[in-house]
Amino acid sequence: MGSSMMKIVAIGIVAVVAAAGCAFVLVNNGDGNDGPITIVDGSGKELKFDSPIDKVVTANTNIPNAIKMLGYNDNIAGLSFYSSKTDLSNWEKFSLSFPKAKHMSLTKSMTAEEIAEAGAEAVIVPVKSMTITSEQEVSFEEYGLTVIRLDCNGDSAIDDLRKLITLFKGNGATNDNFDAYMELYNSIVNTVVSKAGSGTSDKTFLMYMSSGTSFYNQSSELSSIIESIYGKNALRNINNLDVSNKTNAADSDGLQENIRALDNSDNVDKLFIRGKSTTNSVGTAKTVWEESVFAKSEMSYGKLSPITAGEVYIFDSDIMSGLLSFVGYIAIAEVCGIDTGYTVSEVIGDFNNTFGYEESSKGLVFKVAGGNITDVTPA
Amino acid sequence: MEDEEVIARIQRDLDEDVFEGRYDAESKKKFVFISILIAVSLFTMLISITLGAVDIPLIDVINVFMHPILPQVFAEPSMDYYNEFIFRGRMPRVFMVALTGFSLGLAGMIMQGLLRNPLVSPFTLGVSTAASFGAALSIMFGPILFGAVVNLKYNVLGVNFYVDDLLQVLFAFLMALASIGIILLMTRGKDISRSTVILSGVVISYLFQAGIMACKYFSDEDELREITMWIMGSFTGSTWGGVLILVPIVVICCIALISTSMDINALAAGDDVASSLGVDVTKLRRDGLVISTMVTAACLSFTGVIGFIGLMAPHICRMIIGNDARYLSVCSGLMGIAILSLSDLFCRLIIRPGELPVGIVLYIIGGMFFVWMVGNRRWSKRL
Amino acid sequence: MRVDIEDLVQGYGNRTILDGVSFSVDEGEVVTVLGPNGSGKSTLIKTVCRIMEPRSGRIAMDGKDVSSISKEEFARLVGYVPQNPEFIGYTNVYDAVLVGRRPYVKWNYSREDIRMAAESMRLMRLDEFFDRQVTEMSGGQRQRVTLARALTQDPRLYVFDEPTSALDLRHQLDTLRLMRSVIKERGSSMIIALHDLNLAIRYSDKVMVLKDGKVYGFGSSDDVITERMIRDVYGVESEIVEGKNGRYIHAYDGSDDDYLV
Repeated sequence: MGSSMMKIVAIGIVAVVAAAGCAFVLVNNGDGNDGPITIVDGSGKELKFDSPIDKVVTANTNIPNAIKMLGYNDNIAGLSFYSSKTDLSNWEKFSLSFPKAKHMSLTKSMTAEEIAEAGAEAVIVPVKSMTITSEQEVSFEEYGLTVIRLDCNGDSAIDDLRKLITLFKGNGATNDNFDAYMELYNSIVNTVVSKAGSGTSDKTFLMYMSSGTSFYNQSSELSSIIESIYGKNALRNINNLDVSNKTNAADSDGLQENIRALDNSDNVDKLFIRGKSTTNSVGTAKTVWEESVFAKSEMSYGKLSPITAGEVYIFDSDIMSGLLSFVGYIAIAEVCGIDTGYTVSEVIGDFNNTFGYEESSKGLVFKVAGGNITDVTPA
Repeated sequence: MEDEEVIARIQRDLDEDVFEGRYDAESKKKFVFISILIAVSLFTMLISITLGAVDIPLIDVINVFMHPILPQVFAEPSMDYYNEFIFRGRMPRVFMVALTGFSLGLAGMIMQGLLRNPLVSPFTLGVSTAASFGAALSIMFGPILFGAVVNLKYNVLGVNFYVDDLLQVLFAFLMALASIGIILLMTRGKDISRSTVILSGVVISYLFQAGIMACKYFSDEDELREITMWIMGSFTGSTWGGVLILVPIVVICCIALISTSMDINALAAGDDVASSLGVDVTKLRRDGLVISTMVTAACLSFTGVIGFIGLMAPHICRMIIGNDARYLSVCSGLMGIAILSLSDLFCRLIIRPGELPVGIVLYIIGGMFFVWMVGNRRWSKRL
Repeated sequence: MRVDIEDLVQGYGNRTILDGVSFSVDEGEVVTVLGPNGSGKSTLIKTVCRIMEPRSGRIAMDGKDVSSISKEEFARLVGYVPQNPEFIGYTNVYDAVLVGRRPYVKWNYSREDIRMAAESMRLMRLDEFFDRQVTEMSGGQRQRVTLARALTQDPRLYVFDEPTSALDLRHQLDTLRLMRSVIKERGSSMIIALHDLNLAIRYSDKVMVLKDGKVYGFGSSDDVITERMIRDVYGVESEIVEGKNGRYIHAYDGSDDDYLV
């Protein structure tokens, strides 16, 4: 090319870049330094980058949800999901928000070439569950891709959001959505906890996870959340319970006997059940109940006092952890008779409006009494 | 001359008396051993009812049983949930353990006799892998096909019986039957050589193992864990409904197997000799294998894979009472009960209130037993 | 019991092993089956014992065709002793011998059964081995156990495949003499396959020589066992000598200064 041609091309490029840069600046203010960044991912691995990363491939649903909340939609080059059964439905839902993303293979089948071809320099995957194998991790890294493990869910949800901001925008970057979210989250949680007070410290509850057929014990974050609102986890009163895992298998004869004996001497006041993310109607809640250990052949569980007293509540899994976990606080408080002053539909409505979601505020909490299931989602 | 004859005859009679005497003594020894085994099994079963995550005092155990019969003499049990624990949790469990232990011990002994191979167990024909595959299928696709978990409730004489997760039991059993069917197909024809049978079993194992691996690959976390737990085998959640279904199957199959004892004794001398002693070797082998595998499949469908009983129990008994199948069959069954109840009790107590899957303990004991067996001079000669 | 075998044909797959074998055994008679390896001795034995069903031909016992007899019934008539007895672990001698009564027993051995086993053990001099495990015994002892079992079975026809091959000289002679006297006493008959021609001469009433699946000769040992037969059937040169106690055979390989046996 001639030198004048070169100049035109160069100016053209600069112009385009400048325009793009402005667009970027408009959408996401508060970029950090462009210098090298270091984060520690969810598996404790220290990761260093020369500059904020651009394109990533994500695994499963919590991570793209978080990225979407932060508004970094364009940074996703590809979406991969774990289970073949829900792959298509997930893709349909998410591809609307991520028009630039490719539909990648199932998480366990992804290859380094595929990721590189999508234009990504890194993959963000969950830490332990529904994630890539260690062989995949090794092969990706050998290929030159970076593997970043973040759950964007549960205990680490908020920290992970911060890490995502650093990853995409550099050290010290800020994100308006995040800040707004944190304000919303903290104000709701603080209000609920303070309204709850400590008047219920002599009450006990059991928290059951339907998908794992197990109870959350006192070392789980969900149990701690509930304890900050209502009573104490009944499992604390069982001697020698192994709490190294956050949950204990509910269908073990031994645990059944202990819980029953415990319930006999000191009635458990409430039974909370964490359903699935598809538990959003009386029908699906009924399925959760019928598949639970409490519905199985009249062994000890069937006679637990919260069941005979009709104090059983099933929650949609989406409000138990993740971005909507503050709704869980409200829901738990309300079914325990605490007036939080919030209405779920308002709170979720605000959330939807602010962050561009379409979460439903219906079908989140169900009560089981005498075999009947009713929707008791606080309005 | 006559004196000599008389002396010879007296000597002969003496010798024969000695023989008879020794034979009777040997038989007595065997009866004693069987009685000991019965006592141990009963004792362990009693302890299993008493001890557990929540220990029930012996007085209360007695009260639970005797109070409904003689309310004036026996008080009510001190806690009302003792009744439930014993009748709804521990008793069905104890019975399930007994049924499974006996069936596996007996089936193992019969198969070792039929195939004249000490390394054979009820799982040699691949039944455990087939059942595991069936269970995996039901875990993966059951809820999809049928909407939800299917629990069975049936009524006998006005009493309700429950079988939890009927699909899992059914699928496991059907797959196990399929494996039996494949074996029958592969060993059609007049001559079933023992190596053909064993090889068929190996092939079937591999086939179904591939199926299990495929299921595991496509499963999500929870399903994977469920599949793994099933394969480890456990007696948690045993119900009377399950016991009631198993009892007729086990009783019929075990009686059928024990009644072939004399034929198996003949078989110990070789296929040809057995045939000349009037045994239809092909029919015996085929029928015996099918019935052993069937009763094993029935038990496994409820409990998951309970390994090594079928291998260990006959060996231990054989070392003590010899190879006469009439004693060895019953003995192996009883030994199976003893080993299994002790293991299950151990699993329930060791990390209470938690519970180890009984498969783990059995594999540890079984593995050590196996190593000992192969290292033992006597056996390695024959292997 | 008289046994008549007529035109027996037997084979595996495409191969014919026995091509029309006929001979007979009278009550109280010992008939030895001779023949080199591969001539079909074992196949003949197994067919007579109905371990294998013949392709064609007729076996009659006391005039009655055996194909009409049930297996159980047949087991009371014919007893089989294989060449290499198999046993599995932890079987002891008395169990191994008692099992010979299986054709007569449903579950429990009667006093009579036990007595018969005792007598057999005594005859085969196994008394001291009562509860010894069969697998821990020498080959010769095991063969005696198998013989004791056959005696316990008390059939009308004993069929033996090389029953003395593992026994030492003394026991060989003892056993054959014993078997002869037993069948004479009980009125049974015996078909026995042997390799040792000298033993055949000593202990047989009749001899049947098999060559290539056909009967080469059947009759008294004097008539059938000739130097010519030995040359034709075994391919071996021999010299039959009249000794003090009867005839015996010197076999040699053809060179002048070589004597085998």
